[in-house]
Amino acid sequence: MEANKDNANPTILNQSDLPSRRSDSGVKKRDDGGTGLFDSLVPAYTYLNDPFAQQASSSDTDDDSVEEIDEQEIYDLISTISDPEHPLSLGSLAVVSLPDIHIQPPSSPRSPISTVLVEITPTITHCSLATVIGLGVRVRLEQSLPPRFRVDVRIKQGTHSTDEAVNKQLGDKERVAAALENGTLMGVLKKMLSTCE
Amino acid sequence: MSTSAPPPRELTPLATLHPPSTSRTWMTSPHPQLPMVATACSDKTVRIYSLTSFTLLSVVSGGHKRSIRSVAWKPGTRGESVLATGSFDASAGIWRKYERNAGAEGGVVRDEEDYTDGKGEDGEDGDADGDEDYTFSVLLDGHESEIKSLAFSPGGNLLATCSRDKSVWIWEELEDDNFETVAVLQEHEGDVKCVAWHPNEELLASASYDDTVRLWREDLDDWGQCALLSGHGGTVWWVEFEGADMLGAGGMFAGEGLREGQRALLEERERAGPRLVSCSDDLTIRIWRRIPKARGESSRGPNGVPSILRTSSIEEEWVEESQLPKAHGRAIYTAAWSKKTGLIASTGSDGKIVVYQERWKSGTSDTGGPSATSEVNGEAMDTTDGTPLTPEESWKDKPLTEWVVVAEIEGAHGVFEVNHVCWARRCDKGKRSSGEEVIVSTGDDGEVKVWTLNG
Amino acid sequence: MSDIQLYLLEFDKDRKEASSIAAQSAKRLESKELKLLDLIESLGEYISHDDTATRAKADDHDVIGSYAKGLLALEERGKWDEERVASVINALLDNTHALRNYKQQSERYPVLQLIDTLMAKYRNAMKSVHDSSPQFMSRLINYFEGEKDPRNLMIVFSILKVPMTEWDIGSDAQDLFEAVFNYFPITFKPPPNDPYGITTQDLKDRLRDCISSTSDFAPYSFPALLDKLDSTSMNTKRDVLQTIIACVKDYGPRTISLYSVTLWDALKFEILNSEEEDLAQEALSGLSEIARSLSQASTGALNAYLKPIAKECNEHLEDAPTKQSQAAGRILGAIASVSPEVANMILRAVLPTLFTLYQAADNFPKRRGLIEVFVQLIRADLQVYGEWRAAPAVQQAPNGDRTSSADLAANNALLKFTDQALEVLSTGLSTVPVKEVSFRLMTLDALLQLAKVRQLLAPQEIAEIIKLFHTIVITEESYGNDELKAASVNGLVEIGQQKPQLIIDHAFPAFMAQLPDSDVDGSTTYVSVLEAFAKLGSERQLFETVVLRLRNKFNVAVQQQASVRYLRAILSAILFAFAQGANNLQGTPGSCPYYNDLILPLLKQSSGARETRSSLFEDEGVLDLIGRLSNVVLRTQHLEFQKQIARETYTLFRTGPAKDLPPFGTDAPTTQGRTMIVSTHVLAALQREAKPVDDINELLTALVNFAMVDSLSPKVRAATSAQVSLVVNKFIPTAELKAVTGTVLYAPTDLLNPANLTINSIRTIFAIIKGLVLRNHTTLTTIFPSLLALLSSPEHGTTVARGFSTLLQPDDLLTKENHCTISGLRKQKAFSLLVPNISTSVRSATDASTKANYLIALSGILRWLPYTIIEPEISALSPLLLQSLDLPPEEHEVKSATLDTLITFLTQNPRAIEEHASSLITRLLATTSEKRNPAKVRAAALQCLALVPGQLRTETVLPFRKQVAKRLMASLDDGKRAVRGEAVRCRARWMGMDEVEDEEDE
Repeated sequence: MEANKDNANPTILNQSDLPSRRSDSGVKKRDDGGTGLFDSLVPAYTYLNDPFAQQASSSDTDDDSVEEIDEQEIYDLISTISDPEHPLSLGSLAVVSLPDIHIQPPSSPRSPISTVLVEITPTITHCSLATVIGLGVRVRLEQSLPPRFRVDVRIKQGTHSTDEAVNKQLGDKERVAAALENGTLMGVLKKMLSTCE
Repeated sequence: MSTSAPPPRELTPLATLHPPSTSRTWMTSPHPQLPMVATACSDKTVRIYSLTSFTLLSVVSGGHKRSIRSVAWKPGTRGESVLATGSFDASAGIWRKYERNAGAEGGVVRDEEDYTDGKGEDGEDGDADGDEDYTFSVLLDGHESEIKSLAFSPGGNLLATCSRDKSVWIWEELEDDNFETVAVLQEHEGDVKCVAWHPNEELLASASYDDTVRLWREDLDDWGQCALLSGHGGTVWWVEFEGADMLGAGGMFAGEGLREGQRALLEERERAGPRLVSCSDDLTIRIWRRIPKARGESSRGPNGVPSILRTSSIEEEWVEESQLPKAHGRAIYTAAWSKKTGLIASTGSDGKIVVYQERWKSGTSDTGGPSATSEVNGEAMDTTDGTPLTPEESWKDKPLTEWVVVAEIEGAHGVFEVNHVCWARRCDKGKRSSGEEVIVSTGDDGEVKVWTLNG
Repeated sequence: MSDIQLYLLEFDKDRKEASSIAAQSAKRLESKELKLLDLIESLGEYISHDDTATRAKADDHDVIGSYAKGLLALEERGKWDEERVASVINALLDNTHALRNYKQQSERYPVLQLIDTLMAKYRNAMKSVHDSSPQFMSRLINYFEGEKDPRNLMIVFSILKVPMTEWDIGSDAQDLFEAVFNYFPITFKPPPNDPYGITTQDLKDRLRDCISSTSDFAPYSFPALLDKLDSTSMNTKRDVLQTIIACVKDYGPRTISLYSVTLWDALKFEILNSEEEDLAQEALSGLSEIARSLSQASTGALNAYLKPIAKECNEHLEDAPTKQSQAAGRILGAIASVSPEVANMILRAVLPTLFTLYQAADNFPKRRGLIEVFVQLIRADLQVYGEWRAAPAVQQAPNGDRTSSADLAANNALLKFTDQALEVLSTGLSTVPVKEVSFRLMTLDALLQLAKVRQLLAPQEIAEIIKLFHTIVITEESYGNDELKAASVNGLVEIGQQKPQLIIDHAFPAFMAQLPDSDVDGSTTYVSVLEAFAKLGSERQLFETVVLRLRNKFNVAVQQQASVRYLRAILSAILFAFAQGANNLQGTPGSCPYYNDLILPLLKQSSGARETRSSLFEDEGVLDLIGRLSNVVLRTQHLEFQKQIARETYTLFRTGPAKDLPPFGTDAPTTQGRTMIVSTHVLAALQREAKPVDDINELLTALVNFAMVDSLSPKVRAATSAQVSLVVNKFIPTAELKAVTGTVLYAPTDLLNPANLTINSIRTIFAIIKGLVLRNHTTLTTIFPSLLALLSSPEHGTTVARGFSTLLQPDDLLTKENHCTISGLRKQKAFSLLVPNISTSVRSATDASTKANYLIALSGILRWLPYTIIEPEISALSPLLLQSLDLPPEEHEVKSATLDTLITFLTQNPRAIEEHASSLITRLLATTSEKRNPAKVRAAALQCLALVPGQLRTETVLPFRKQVAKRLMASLDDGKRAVRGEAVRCRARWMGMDEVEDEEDE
């Protein structure tokens, strides 16, 4: 059964090299540069929150600040999908990577529609599973993103022998819809998507 | 050069058919006589709504194992309604329901007649006898994979179906519930997305994933491809013929004072017959016209084939006449051509509904007129300088008509994609004129919305 | 007519009669009237009787069975001699049909028992039968052939195991092997309540024992097993691998050496292209078992095995980092950890290539991949050569002579590579750009492992590594989530466990140098250094020094008027070190470690008993830390010692009487009020017998009055409440408790009187009751009703309601360590006294606000109760909990508590809320889509909702599927990332539970 794998021996990236929200420079650190090691010394349930006090102000203060859906969030959604051939994640196989995820804001002020473009890079140029992988990515995003997002999944230019054909399939809403009603195919997808975080 | 000014007319929501489906709805088809529509749902059902009360009359279910992608009413039925359903389960179904007041002669409907069944109590009935009223009578088996579209011929005796298996099938109904396959057309090189019949010829059009539109007709007793329309740069999602006799008194181009060129154009159209509209992933909507068979002179056609042979051949020559102004940002799923007004409505993945109108190009009257643009002047000079143009040439080089956007709405179904629009007779009490039409849109949100066109 | 014939004839007519005949013949046997031989012969002739009628009987009825039973009975009556055994077994094999002809399991079973007994008790007899008759074995095998019943098979296997292990079976080996291997891989499903309790595992084990029983099987077993290894069934593969391991263990080195390479060629695939991790594990242990077995044989055999492995692994290393290069690392690691000898061989065979590849590598991922393998090798080496602090069990070398761990270390093949390794790794760690996180983490780990290997590195070399690590902690700019800094600190701690002195000599000075005397410049770089330092302090041998250095730094900082923030940080570091409990604080009646040089000065400074009272000690944060520090040190002290300190609880060594000081002097200046924070922790540390004052009742009253002062800061107020609870719980004898608390709760102080309610009084009420609840005191039965009555107070009802969440809330002061009485029954009691009462009141409550208050109170109790206590009331409580989700957004505390409870219900006992499914789902949807609920509530609602599809019956939930999926689209667009994350998970669960798919797809 190993023999008929398209790529039996893929290159594997290390977890700590994969982009993560905490490791992108944008995040705000503790202002004292510490790790908060000492925070637990004074238990939270003593002085800090007083059950008797008026609770009108909700516990998490910056609750009204909105965290927009960004490329990293998209990445976190799809990098954990597992490859149909290996017990490995698309992220660690570099099939999906942060720079290849693009969010386009609404085209006009009147339009509510944003677009997500994900370019995937198959582990090898003739990977017959490219379509399945792409489908997995599209399905994960369509199920996980609010409907105001349009999802476009493409094979990255020149990384696949038949990328145009694959792109056309992945772009075809009707085919995708039908695929999701195909029990056998759904079986494969379920397995890929079972890793939710 | 489409004008950037806001469109003159306005699409306003009239109603959302209630209750909506909880899952994606694909397309909606108005009943040829009765004030109701049938909506194809991904939950394997068809929902029948009233256009008078805008409420659900019945849910047709139990016939299919997968999404129902497409529905079509059989035209000209008497005393009953016949519904065809095409499903992702690769089969098509035929459903029948007895109708007290359907099937006026030749399916021509007198207004007061449907007004009566528009009182809404019909709706009550519909709900009362619930889902039993439509009975599943035939299962059409043969396609290898999902059926994507189906259509009854104007006569109602032929049913065309098309599928991901790249084939188009034509079924003939010999007598009730006995369908025979009369043709399996396999020239397409990709999924066949849509089929549509010519309003008064047995001419079938099909649109495909292979970026082409193909036309088919019967040659002796064998169906074959009679034209290949290529030009689109992506999947062609929808194809539809223009209504018959759109040039008659009712037509937008009626009236005196037409210049010679314009009259020539109309005559040409008379001979060519209804045109074809197609829309595609490539974000264009294209109008195609037939080159009428030459009478006598053998100059036309590639390398002057003798005319005698040509007449017997089913070969037809269709050319792209024009493209509608680009108004969509994502794949266009439907372009619906009103059989009453000649307006075209389009919609697609960007959730917009756009309405277009064809009109004489301004400034093509002999007197340039104050509104004349430099370009018009340029044209005027052409006509005035020594070489007079024959009418035909003149409108081939410089089209006399143009399509303009007359109405447009963003997010017609909120943030959701809109899969389909069609024109239907307006039947609710708010109807402003007997001929008034509404636009019915069908969306991923499971909602079917009815729109009026104002101004 | 022989007894047997009689027996058989009777058998039809009258079984009683029959068995009595059997018994008779048994007697006559004993009395030697009847020769067993005749009996057997008569049976033999019977079974091969010409008269088919009688013949038939023998087959129809369980003749043979009862016959065997008979013989078993006989055998029990006395030992048989060899020829009797022989005749019995021969009679069976010659005169009776092979067992497969008897349809009834019950019929075959006794026969097998009989033979099993013979095998067990009469080994030599049976063996000599075998030796004397060459056909015996094949007859025996043939006799059992086709047995299918698990009960019988268990016996068959154990019967056959005897010849396999004890007899010389030369020519019969193959037949014998096949006789059992036919059953491989064996499985069966025991009937629902199988009376015999035989599991598939039992069968597997017995079968495996047979296959691995003798090396004579090797020529047949290994090919057969490897053939089955190609199966697509994971279970079969698992079986095969486990059986191979068993064979490798049992067949012995000589045999294994013949198959080692063949096995390697087969097993490696399970690791290089692993599909299932556990199969890879089995394969790995298989490979190392082979090595282990071979290292008992000649070095040549071992070499022959390891050579091809090293060769292939080296090849895989060339294209690191790949799935297979990782696998190669695992293989080498697993094998190398078998024995020092094997480790040396592997290291010598692999490391040269590894380093060459490393030098040639042009990118970091590749280098990382190589070092990853290196680390696995060092870990293996560490395993066989031991750590500095723990020498390995003394090794038994193949040639039999024992080597002391010292000589052993001298043979460590790794020694030859350390210079090269250190060079490569050090430069890798120190010169490579910070963004190469995984690469540097890997090099760091490699260095750490090297440093741990017993007697591998010289102290100076380890010191260099320490330097590398602390430089990263101190000077490197922060990057990403600072995995590297964290790893460095942990590295230092680990080295500290091995070589504490080296850490003290090299890391400490570096760290201390980073700690300013004062932080006037306002920089906070010291924080990460303090954290690292504190972590080191948690290591036993380092604790002493760490605390000493930090204390000195603290004193200097105080003199230099450093910022409060800096002092807090230093104190936190000290407290952390203490809290890790890395040290022994046990003192004597007269003395207490760290008291004089650490605690006492701090207490004096905080109270101003020292003239040099710096304003720094007015900071509540500083005081709190000082308090906690004192608490940690004091609470374990001897009663005698505590008594001395107890006196100073409130004076804190100030001169002058306590009565002017808080809590006694209610009008004391706020600066003094603050010392309540410290005294609280001291009070907490005291044992019951070490009273802070003589008249406890007076103290309680004082505290209650003090608590009423409006000007108290939140922290001082909380401290006061805590003291109230402590006093009630610890210092008032059970007998007086009712009276004493009574005077406060009721007249004269009369706190519980609705007329007297203020926010301060309410706090105090709950502080008192909390003390009682923990003691589980009887007066609660009278107090709780009055307390519940307050819930209907229009003005204070809500405040009271919120108080209920404090009663069972875990508390860091009221603990057993602090000598409090913590009744095991308190939760059960509180539940039974409050919950039924509340739930009836909710239903009866007329006005909305009272109803709400009851709901708030209810969730305040439930949130702390274990499921087992709530269980009986679930069905009554569920509707109430659901209602509390409708409370206004500001009650988010209640809501999250409720959601937690609902989550427990759903996981523990979904049936109980099944009936409420509809209202549960709709309310959860409402809660999560209500934007005014805080994010954590919206998220919790989603977590709860996500459990529904899995926990409730599908037919109950399916109708809601579409609606939920649709409603959740809104949550997918929630403003908060965390909530969206939950929404995704929740929605996936709901979408996942689709209707049964029809599988007729092409």
